[in-house]
Amino acid sequence: MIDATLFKRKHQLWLRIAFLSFSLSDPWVKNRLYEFSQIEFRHLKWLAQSLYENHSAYDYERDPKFNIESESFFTLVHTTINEIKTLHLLYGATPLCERMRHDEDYILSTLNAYLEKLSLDEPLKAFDRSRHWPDALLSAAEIDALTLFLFEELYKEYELIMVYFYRQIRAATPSQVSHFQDLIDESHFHLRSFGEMMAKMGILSLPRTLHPRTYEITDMGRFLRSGILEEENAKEECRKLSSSITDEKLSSFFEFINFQESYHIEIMKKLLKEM
Amino acid sequence: MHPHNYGPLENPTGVGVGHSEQSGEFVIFYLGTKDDILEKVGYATNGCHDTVVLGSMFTEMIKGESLEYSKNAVEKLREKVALGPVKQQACAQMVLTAFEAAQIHEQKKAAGSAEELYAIEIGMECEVE
Repeated sequence: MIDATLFKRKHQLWLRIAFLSFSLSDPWVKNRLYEFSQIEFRHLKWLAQSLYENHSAYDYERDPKFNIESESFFTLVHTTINEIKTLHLLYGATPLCERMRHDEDYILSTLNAYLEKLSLDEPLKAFDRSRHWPDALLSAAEIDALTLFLFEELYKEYELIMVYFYRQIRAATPSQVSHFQDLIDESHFHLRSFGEMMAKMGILSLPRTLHPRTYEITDMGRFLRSGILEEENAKEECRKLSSSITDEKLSSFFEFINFQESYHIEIMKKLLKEM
Repeated sequence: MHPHNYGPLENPTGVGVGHSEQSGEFVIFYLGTKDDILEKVGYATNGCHDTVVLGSMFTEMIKGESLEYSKNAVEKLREKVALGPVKQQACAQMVLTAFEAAQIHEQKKAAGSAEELYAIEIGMECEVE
């Protein structure tokens, strides 16, 4: 049955698989899992559309005990398998449920295959809180600045994805849908980038849950104007970090992100003009 | 990050919001009071991590304590953050305003009001440097 409980479980499954991908170092498994997480996010979008069309309420709450952290990849794979199997008990006989079940049967077979490769079960460093950046020698002040930035921005990107997602479901024109999709895609890239950096430093953790006041927006104009302000703040944070970090590679990465934020502002201005 | 007491309460006795109209930032505070004791407290915010940390600290300070004790805790937190950066003062202001709004809501509810929450706008923004 398509209801708020199913939406909540799917929301958690998207996060579960995305953060599992961030936590790994094996590039092939990492990329495969990230693709699966994107499939789960599309499922989530179709679910939200269905719920909205049927005037059924849903929210972005998560179970208080929902946790993505473990020292063992296999433990997380077992948890993911169990969650998918539990989810399947909630599916009905609709085409959407059939599609989701079919996708997840394949995901299950892939996850089970991972469990047979014992070499994959190396201890995960993503959650060890070591706060060590392995790719360059950073000062304690740089590590502190990077840690704060990543915690702040990982939450912000998650928040942006979910706010744009909420507005996209309620968009009035195809052009609005397209603009929101661009913003969502960009924030997915930022979420992944920051999540992977946090995993490298051993500080990967879930962003906190979103209160409905954050995403239940009725005044689109005001939302976009404050969104532009938010992007400008994000640009400023990136600029500050980029100038405070001496490592050239890291600094140029944050410059790159900073420039992307500039274009988000342009997309939001386009959305404002259309209103 | 694992902030304490984060998220709404079921059947709260008071719900208050401290918000900045300009930036769209807010803190929402939930009270579960029984016989003048803050048995349960909860909060949520879309603000920065300083706000999250201050909310976590403040709710830990007052949880299980009397309303009278919470007044002292408010003053203690104000004194503490007054020594720090302006940004932290703004974040603390947002948390404490939401707490104050929740207490007002609790009183209004007890007097028969059917309002879902009480909101107070604040002038300070947590983005200030």
